[in-house]
Amino acid sequence: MAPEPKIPPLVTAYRCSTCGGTGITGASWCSTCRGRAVVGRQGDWLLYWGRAIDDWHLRQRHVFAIAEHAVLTLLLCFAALGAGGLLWELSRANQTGYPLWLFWRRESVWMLAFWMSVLSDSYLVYHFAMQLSKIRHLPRRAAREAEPSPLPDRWEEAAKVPRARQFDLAQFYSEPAISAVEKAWLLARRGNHQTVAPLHLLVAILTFSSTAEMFVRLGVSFDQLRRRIIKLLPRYAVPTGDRLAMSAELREVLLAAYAQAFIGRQKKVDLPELLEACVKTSELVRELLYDLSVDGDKIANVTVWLRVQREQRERGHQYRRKAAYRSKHSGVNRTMTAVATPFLDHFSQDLTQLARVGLLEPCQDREREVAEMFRVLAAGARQNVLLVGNPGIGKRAIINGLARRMVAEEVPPMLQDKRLVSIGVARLISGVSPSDAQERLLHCLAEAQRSGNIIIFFNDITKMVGITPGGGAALDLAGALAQAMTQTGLQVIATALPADYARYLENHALGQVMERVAVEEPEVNAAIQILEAKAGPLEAHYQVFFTYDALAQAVTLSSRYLHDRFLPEKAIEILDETAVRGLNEKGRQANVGGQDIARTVSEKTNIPLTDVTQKEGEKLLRLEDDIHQRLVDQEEAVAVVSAAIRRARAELRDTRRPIVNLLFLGPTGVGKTELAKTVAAVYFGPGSEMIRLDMSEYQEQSSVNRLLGAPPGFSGAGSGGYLTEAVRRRPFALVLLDELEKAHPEILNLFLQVMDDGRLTDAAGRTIDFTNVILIATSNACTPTIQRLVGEGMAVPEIKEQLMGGELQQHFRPEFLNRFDSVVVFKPLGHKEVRQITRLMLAEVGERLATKGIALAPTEAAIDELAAAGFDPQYGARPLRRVIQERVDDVIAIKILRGELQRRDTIVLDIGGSVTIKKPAVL
Amino acid sequence: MTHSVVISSLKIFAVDLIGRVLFWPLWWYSFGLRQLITSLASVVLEEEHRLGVALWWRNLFVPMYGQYDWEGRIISFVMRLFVGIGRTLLLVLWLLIVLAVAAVWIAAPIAAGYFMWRNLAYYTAIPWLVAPYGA
Repeated sequence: MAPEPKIPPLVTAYRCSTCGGTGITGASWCSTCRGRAVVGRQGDWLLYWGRAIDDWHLRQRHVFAIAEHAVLTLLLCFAALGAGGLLWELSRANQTGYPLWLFWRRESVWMLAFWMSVLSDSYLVYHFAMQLSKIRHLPRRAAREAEPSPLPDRWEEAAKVPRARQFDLAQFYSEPAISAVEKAWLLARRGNHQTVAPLHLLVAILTFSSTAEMFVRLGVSFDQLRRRIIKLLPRYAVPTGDRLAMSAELREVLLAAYAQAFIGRQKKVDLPELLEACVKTSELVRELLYDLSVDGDKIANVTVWLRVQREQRERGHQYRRKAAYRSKHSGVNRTMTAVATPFLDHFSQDLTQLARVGLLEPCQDREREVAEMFRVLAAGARQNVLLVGNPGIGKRAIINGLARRMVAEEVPPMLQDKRLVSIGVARLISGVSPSDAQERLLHCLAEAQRSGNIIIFFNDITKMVGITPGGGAALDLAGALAQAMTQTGLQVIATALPADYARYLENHALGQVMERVAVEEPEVNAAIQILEAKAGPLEAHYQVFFTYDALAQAVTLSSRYLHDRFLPEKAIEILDETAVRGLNEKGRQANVGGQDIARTVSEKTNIPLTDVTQKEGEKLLRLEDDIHQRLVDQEEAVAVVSAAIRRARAELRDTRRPIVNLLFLGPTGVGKTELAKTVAAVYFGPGSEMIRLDMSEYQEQSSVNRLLGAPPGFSGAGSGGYLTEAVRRRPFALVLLDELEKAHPEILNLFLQVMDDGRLTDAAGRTIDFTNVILIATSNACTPTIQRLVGEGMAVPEIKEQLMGGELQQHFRPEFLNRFDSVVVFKPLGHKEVRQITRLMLAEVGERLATKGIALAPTEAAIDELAAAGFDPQYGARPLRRVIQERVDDVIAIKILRGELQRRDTIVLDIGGSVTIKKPAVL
Repeated sequence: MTHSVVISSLKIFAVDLIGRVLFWPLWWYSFGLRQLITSLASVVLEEEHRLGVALWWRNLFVPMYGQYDWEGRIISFVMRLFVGIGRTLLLVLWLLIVLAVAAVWIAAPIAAGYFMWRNLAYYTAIPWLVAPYGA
């Protein structure tokens, strides 16, 4: 069932207690509410739907509209006639040599028509001005003011509001919205329905072409929706004997739509608000759309998206108008006091000029940073800004946005009529010695200062640190810049990465003269909004359409699975790549949805993220069988692992921990590592490698450094730890900790955090994400006990219980053991299992031979013999591989080298190591 | 039913139309005039901003292009004086256009009424109007 909206409504609806909210009793208007039926209370205000929707009024409005059009057409024709008359009179006057400027003195029937048309023209002006003044916009009261003071519970009290505080909400409905309500009525009338319900309104809304875009964004197919609605509509055809009226639920939808528009600070209630209100108010509509994976929130987000797009277009027009005021000539300000800067121009780019011609995009959702930047530039001890933030989070976008605002003059006075000039450090230092580079820089700065209308921008200013012209104490390029800034008061804006800032600038003279403004990675919602703004240009470029799901998935999946990069850049790239694929695979005008994004992220990360298909579902359901093709017996272990994989794939696992933490206990050679390998192949795909740590190499406490990386100052510092680096590079892998009991206890403590929180901090301070790894530890601890108890015939679960209760705690601390999702005891192999393993191993040999066109056919007796020779109660199946190597592989190798084996030959392996070759029939 | 709806709707429409026509002259010289003046004022202000007239006069003594020597100061003073006068004249021209529009607004209905009467009189041959303007 679809979730109900949780937030209390802004407008509280009350149904008339007499008519139950329909406005009619029997065949006449309800005497209590006089047809108002449902009223809403927004604080002390009373809202009602005052536009009568019935046959009589609809017809009357229709007649009005026709009559109005007729009058206007008549007047417009008359205006044209008057203008024509004047022209005719002027041409006649011209022919007779009459002075044209005295035209008004002429008298004729044409002039009479002209003067009459002047009157009709002025009536037209009056008419249209009145039409415009009739447009009522939603009141801009603060939502706070509208919050309900203790509201009454019943209609009678709720409706007691002075007339001055009552208003008809229909006046705030846009023309399409009104028309949708009327269409809903007509639809019900045509279908002989007894009531006009929200479902009728939904159908009416769908008939507008402007809502089509919304449904594309929602990723809903029109056909699917239409089919479902057609099935549902007949339920309103049940005769009740009453006349057709708007249902109370529909009236509540109309109130809710007003509330939506009010909250969204809209001027009018439009179709998106009506749709949103339909979904939020009507349970039937909610269920219907929920079935197509559309809920109220999604509609709200899409509405916001479309609204943002519309505002963006409006702002774009405004911007172009304002940008036209700016001089076309770079370097000239409006007061013409600026000085030409030819040298600076050579090494720089005028960002304001680029913004003026529209080459820079506006910046989204960075109001806090921009406001802080303005504050620093306007006041404070250091009037220079250093934007510090990780790569890809939009530092340049903020600068581009600033350039645009400077062009539109939407900046504080100290930035008005100024240029934002970006100096390229690479260009400054290229091809010259550091001392020449410093001279160039100082020359540029001198020019900028003389010109007086320049703000300098350096991208990644840390590149200037350490470029020293002389030896020892000489100032580096950054130092020279800092000095120039202090002496001349030149204002500078720059960007730097956090790590570089801490390393190079914090204690540098340059760091001292600049105020740090931190730029944080945007939150998921902010990132989606940034993507919404970016989607338009991408769509235009690739000729595809993004659904809202695509945008949301690009942000959520990239923030969950692409850890070494930052939002919004990584999400934009995912969107970009998916758009290209959408164009290539589906062609133009195709829809790019959430599943397409999941596929792109899947391909990048090698982790299955798309919805489980039927084929894959079947495969997951028979996972145990697949694993058993590679692994013999160990039913419990296989079941535990399979269940964990299914949970992960169905996204039912806890995403704040590793996919699963398992401890495999058992003697050597029983298949612990083999199972781990099988899991890696099944979940992460064939060919994926495991991150394998032999814990016997970590017996010293100091070996922590090898796992996490050496701390600064130690040898090997900066190269990263073996474990942390491996997981950082491949966050989706199986981490196998072999022979866990041999590791130092302190090292085991490290894994407590990994197993609990899914993260680990390396020596460089980076947090490594372990939430997408499968962590498997194997241990030979308690092997003698396991072997003894199995020998005594005890069942595996009981053995596990006994070990957990006592002996295992001698090797591992209880809190460590508790962190494992499951401790799996592998039982020692018997003859039967070893025989099966022999079969599997020989099959592997057979596969290798098959590539040479040779078949291998071992006899049952030979398999028995090999199994017997390869089985050792102490080492399990481990000696078997050696036996097969010696007795099978070696013998066949010699035969191949001797040239005794040809393609299509069959090797028959028999008892006593005898190998005979069966030649095929000659073709 | 349909017939009665159409007739009664047209009646209501006619009454409404008469009301609107009666309100028209009142609106023209009150609300309408106020709206016109407001929008014309914004046109003039925008034009002033585009031309930067006040900006030029304020910077009359500020040397152009950073030429702070006395030759530079003299040249830029002269230059700014000429440009300032030119831009002011342009603004005055705009002001005149705007005033003309306002004058047309005020005069149009009265003039139209007067000349309609004149033209009608011409055809209905009222003697003292047949030969106007002393011709």
